[in-house]
Amino acid sequence: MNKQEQISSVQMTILFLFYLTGSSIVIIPAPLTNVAGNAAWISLLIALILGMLLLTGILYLYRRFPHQSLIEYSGSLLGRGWTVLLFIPFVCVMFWHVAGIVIEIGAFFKTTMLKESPTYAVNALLFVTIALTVRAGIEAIARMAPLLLILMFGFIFLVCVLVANLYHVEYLLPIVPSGIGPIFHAAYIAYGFPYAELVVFAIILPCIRPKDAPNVRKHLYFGLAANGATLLLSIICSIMVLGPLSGDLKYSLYQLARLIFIRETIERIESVIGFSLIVGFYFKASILLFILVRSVSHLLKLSNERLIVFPVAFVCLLLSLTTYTNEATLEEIVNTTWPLLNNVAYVCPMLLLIVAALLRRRGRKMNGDG
Amino acid sequence: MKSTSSQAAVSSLLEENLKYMQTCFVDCRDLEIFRWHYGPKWDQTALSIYFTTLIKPNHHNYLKDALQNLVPHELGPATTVTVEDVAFFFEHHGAAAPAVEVLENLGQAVSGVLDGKVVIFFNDWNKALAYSAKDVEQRQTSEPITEPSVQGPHISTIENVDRNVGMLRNLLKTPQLKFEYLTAGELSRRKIAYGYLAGTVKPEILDEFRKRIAKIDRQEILEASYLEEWIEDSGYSPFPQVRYTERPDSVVSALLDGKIIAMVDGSPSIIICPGVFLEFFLANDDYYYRTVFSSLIRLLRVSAFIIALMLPSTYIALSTFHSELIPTVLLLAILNTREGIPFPAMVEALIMEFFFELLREAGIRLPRPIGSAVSIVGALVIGQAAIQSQIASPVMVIVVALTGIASFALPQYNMAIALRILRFPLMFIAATFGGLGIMVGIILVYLHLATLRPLGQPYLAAVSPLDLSRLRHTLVVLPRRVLLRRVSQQSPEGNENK
Amino acid sequence: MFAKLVCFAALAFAMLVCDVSAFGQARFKERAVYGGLLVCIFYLGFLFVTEKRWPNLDTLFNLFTGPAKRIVSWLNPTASSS
Repeated sequence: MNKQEQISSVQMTILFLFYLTGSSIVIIPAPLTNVAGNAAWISLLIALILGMLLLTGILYLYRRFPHQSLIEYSGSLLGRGWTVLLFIPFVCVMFWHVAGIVIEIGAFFKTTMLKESPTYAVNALLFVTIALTVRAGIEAIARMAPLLLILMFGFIFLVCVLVANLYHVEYLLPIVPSGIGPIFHAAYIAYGFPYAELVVFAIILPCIRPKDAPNVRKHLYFGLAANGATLLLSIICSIMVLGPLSGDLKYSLYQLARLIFIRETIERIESVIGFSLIVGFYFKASILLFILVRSVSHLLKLSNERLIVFPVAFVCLLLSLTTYTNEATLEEIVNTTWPLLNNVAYVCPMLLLIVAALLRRRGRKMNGDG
Repeated sequence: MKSTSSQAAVSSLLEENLKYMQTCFVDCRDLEIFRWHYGPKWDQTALSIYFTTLIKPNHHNYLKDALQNLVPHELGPATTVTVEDVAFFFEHHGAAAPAVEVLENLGQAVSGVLDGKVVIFFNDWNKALAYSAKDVEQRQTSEPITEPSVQGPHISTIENVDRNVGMLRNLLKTPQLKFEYLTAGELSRRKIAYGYLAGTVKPEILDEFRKRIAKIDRQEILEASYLEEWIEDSGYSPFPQVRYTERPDSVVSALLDGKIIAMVDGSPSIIICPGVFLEFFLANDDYYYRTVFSSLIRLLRVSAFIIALMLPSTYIALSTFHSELIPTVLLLAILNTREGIPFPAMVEALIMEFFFELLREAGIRLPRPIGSAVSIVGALVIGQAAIQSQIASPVMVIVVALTGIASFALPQYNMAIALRILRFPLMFIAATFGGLGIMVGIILVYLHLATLRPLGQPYLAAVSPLDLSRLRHTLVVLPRRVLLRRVSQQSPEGNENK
Repeated sequence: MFAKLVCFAALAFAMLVCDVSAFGQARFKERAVYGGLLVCIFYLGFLFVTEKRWPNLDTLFNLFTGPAKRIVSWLNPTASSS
């Protein structure tokens, strides 16, 4: 991977959108509706606002240090020792994060379509693809993205449109069934997955071409908003169709697809939808693996990034096969532990760096002004 | 053999030159050396050397032509000419007929003889003359064999690079059409020509092309496809990165599009580079027919591509893993026919595909009268026999046949080859992982396409980076008036992309 | 278990074959990192093939579950433990 590889701001936004939507569109809204019922969309809005704040944070850091990744300017702000200490949990959690995405896809397939195939074969196949994608470099990833994005979003909207005949708008009421506690709980879940995860983009923002830099802010905000709108749409459709059941059925979008029935010709097409959804997972995992490889190489100051792609991917593969193989424990970590873990490992370093950057600026101002 | 590049000067002594040429061409029995005499006392000697097999058979005496230039009379024996006259006249480039070249060293003399020239040595003059007299058997320009068309010109390029360049110059009468030459190969010394339209071609593409061509030098280039290996980005990729054509009109449209073309002496194929993925679905005929029809045909080609790549694997995945996706009636029919077949769908598909590929390969080499009959009968008989012996089901035969036909629908043969290769891994992965496998396979193919950069241009040029107007131009043919209106609305230097 | 071992061995072999040329040209630091990753790979691979429950990343993450549960119950006093 040539360190000089650069992509445009629009391409970065597409990657951003893919990253946020890829796996969440399938997993959410089930846990949210499970906890908060009809108020799940309010929770999502709360989480979205928190996500916007985080985005502001990393954009501020990008504006201050446009050519360096998070780890690089951490080195200059906090010194090498603190950086290493701070980012070791970052990297460790990210290793598992990549594995977690593939665990989710594997679980998705095992429950729905490929019941007989052994988990390790499916995971291995996916990881081989993901590793090859990352090895090709971010330019290749960015080049593949637009068409796949259109494909994925096309299918999402297609599903939402095709189940229109099953909408029951009355399911949306009452708006707040059980009080504000569940809303916060669901917001906590949604914040952990996917919004707190967007912090890691600070590692690859320097890949944007310098002349595109002024547009980055509005493009990324737009991307986040688009993601929010899509998830919101998915939650609302799910509630309108499945009603009180939406919390009990996992993989809501897939369930919606199963219900599509138009004049006997278009029925049972959930497999097609399922396959197009794996594109989202695959892409998110590829982007994240790329970020992970980049982080490791910046943290350890390696010069040849490409060499470690395969071993890192292999470690993630093995993590996906040895940790949380039980569905119940997986659910527990995603819903309960992950937001906290996320914040400690991803968000805290970023906040620390923002504080450090602000202090440094103020210090410089005070010294400069006299 | 350094004889063609020898820097040894032509000697003034005729005998030395004679000895040099004789040792060089020892055992080349088709070489003729004639000794002539001329001059006031018949004491001046000259030698003419040529390959009888290379020059025109009309026994034209070029020495007489040379001397003719020096006498005031039309005809007659050259009794008034001396070698000093000859030397003076030709060294000062007197207007001679026919056109003559003055050679200074023996290396040039040897390559001149090899090039079909008549080389004449004079006594006491340290230069030689060379007259072009080449006449080797060539094909007449005819209908392009591999790219016939219903409407449009029916000429094809031939094996002579100069004539081809002439044909192209005749179609694009502009000084912006530039051609550059180079010679490659120690032994074959083929002339390679490449051309482009200055002002339309992008300078960075041209630079990259030149850089790659510069490495050829001593390699023997026997055919245009040898050249392809030097130009292309990845030799291992199944996907072609250059286009081939034998039709001058296709070449002209490619030049107008800002492409670089290359051709090799001795091969009629012309390379158009860089070839981007979407271009392999275009045929020049599209612009000769009506626009609605052309647009539909293009969509047909895209579906042919998808079928040729994915039909067998989709069939395997559907019948093995995802039977619920097939409508019930069809499913029953398929299962009915598949009863009694001892092999799983994958093996059955492999066997039938293998037979089909064998048939295809065999059919290429059969002489024309037998060829078509054998392939049709062979296909029918084998297909029927396979069904009756329960090796394959009728659905499988249909799938395989449809795949084969679809791959013929693509205008460029080298793209169809790519699909033939890629079908098999996709079948394997579909048999193992079902629909997920197909998705992964398609993603891997897409990833590979995204990393190819022929001559620095992204292979998936209009798809990603997404350029909707170019994509639309490729998939939908617009009438030229509409295209030109669009072009004139754009910036003046925007070129009309198809 | 045998199938898992074969799968693991095949993947490891493929990876090493692909990387051997780059490894030869790499500097000491990259080789060290690669080696470190290989150690992790073999450890995890052993866990995978033998299906033992030895310390892994999830043991580390489970330490956070306690505090996380407390946060959840603070946010949502009415929820039962999910």
